[in-house]
Amino acid sequence: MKKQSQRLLIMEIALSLGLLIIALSLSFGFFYSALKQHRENIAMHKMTETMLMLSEDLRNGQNVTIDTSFDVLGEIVDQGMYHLTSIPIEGGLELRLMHEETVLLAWPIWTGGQP
Amino acid sequence: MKKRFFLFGVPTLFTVFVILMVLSFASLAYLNVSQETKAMARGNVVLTESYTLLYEGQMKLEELQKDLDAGMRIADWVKLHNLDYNRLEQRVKLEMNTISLGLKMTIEIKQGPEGMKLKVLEHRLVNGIDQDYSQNGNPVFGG
Repeated sequence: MKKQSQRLLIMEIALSLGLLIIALSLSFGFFYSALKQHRENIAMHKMTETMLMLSEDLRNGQNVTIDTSFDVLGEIVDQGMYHLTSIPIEGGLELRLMHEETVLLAWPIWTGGQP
Repeated sequence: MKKRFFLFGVPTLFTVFVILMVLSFASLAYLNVSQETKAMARGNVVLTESYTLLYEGQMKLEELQKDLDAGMRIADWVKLHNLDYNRLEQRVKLEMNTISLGLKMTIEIKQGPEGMKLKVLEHRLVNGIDQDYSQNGNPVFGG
């Protein structure tokens, strides 16, 4: 009787620990990817804001140099993983936010040129 | 009295409760961020399309003005660009669309000493269900 009781207790502890480890791993995975995505979203938001400011300056005829680099947090740095560049197009410029070769966000700005 | 044994005692039930709580919070955090990402993507599409429409609109306006400056007759000009022209009001209506947004422009043709000049009277940025994104008739470019 005592032996059976001890066996059941060990099984219960093992089961609880197993479930706890599985749940904590799953939760950690969820929290980690959520946190990572949230950080990326904040960085994207900051970079979009910078792009908007530059776009408005360009539309208002200001001479703005566009060759900006952002780090993983969306802060302006010398050499970051995100790059904001401009490509001359008919009548204006196209602003491009790039990550390596991938274009994340791009839109054209009319700067007063003729079609 | 015979003692009964259960596999799921109070500690196991408590562990299961803790597990469910932690998993629920983790799932909620994940769902919240995935909705945030979707909202941001949607915002960026609206932003990109509004700037694209502004650019296309300005280019079209420049093109129309260029043809008028070249001395084109109004009738030919209207026919060439397939415009919605109101002769009495001397106004032209233009409409441009992207996947989710549209730009409606009302342009006035003004006769001046240097020829005919186009003046934009109204910009209206609308979405597919005709919801207006404008403020007092002027588009809110850049959200």
